[in-house]
Amino acid sequence: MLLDARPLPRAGLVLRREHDDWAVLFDPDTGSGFGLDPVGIFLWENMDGRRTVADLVGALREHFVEVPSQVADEVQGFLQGLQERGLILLP
Amino acid sequence: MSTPRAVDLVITNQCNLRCRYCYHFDGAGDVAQDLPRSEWSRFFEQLERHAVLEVSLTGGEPFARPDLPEILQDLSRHPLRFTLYTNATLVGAEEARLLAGLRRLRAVQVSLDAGSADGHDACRGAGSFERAVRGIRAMQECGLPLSLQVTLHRLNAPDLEKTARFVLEDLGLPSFQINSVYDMGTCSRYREQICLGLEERRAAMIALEELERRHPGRLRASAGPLAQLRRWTAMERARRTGGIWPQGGLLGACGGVFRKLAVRADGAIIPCNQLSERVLGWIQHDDLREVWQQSPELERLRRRQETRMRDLPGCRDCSWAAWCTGGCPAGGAEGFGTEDCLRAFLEQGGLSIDQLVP
Repeated sequence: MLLDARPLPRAGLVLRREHDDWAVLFDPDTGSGFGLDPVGIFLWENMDGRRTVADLVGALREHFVEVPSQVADEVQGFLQGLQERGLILLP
Repeated sequence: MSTPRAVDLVITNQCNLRCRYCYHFDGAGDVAQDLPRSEWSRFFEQLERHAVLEVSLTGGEPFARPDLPEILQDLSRHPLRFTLYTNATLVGAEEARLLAGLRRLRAVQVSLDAGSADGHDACRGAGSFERAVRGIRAMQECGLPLSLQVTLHRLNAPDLEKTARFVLEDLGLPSFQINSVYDMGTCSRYREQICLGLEERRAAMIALEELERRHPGRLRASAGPLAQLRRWTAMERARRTGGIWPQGGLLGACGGVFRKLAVRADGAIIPCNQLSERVLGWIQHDDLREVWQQSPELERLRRRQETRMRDLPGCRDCSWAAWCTGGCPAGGAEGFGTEDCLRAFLEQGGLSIDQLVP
């Protein structure tokens, strides 16, 4: 996934937060769920179809402390996984 | 968990049958009036707002409610999945097509108690087997995801083998769930005729063990003789080997209060349908999240699991106290000496320990 791509969460999915800071991304049409850690939740909530992947990486660096240097690769891999599961769109 | 993950809704108190083992009627959940559709519809918005993922619709009999189709359409507009519990006797081609058109319907669970009219109608009334099977076939023709519940009682327990053959072979279902009657509500009035006695429970366990051997993976159970047999066998194995048992030794048998709630037909929020007298709030004016997080009664039920079995008077010297998790909260505060108690079952001669684990 390119850094200038602008990912958009697919409509109709439910983000359900649990007490331990994790969340489940639930597809009510299939019943499938996908676990998100706090970084995944942050990315999910900041994707809007306007921010680029590079914007998201920048926002993540500002929000969290001790962000590893390879974070851009990790974010791209994470988004790739969401895309393969049909959870995000790249308009 | 900040809100319940699942909610069970008694969508109506009406039912076209009066089963003699019903735990609902003649209990606190047997309320005078159903909530109107508009009230349920408002509550569905709450469910969405609080990210509830799973809903079950029970009764009574959901199809006894004339506006069920509209309620199902209302519910389908929200991002959650739901299961409908029905006796299937009011389901024809039209109802089956309605259900097949609901994309968020997870499953339809049908109650069928035997493989013939004798065993099924004994508690449910003449003609109900034939109508239920017709309903099941109609739903199968529409390709609906069906799940089947067999409730064991004194009158159908001897027919287990025939029941399994009918469900798995004649109806061609992949599996079925099996539990036994709860001594609550209407059932308590017919206790002597219906509830499984020690000998019937023992015979059912032996028969179910044999059925499991012949149909591996096709029998499911969360309560009743099969669930008890599985749990007790695992407990005894753990005792012999000193193995560790999840939450073993703590009074936490029911984890329901950590993941779900229920709502009566009149809108009362309750911990579950077996605890329908314990009103935690009302969907007409209370917020589900606040009830979930702040109800003192729910907190008390959750704290059961902090109680060590060894601290309970009846369990202090029990050989299985380190592995036991007690009984259903609806069956008594602790479970000692009840149907969930392994030691009581063995002492009364239900099975020998060597029969449990050779």
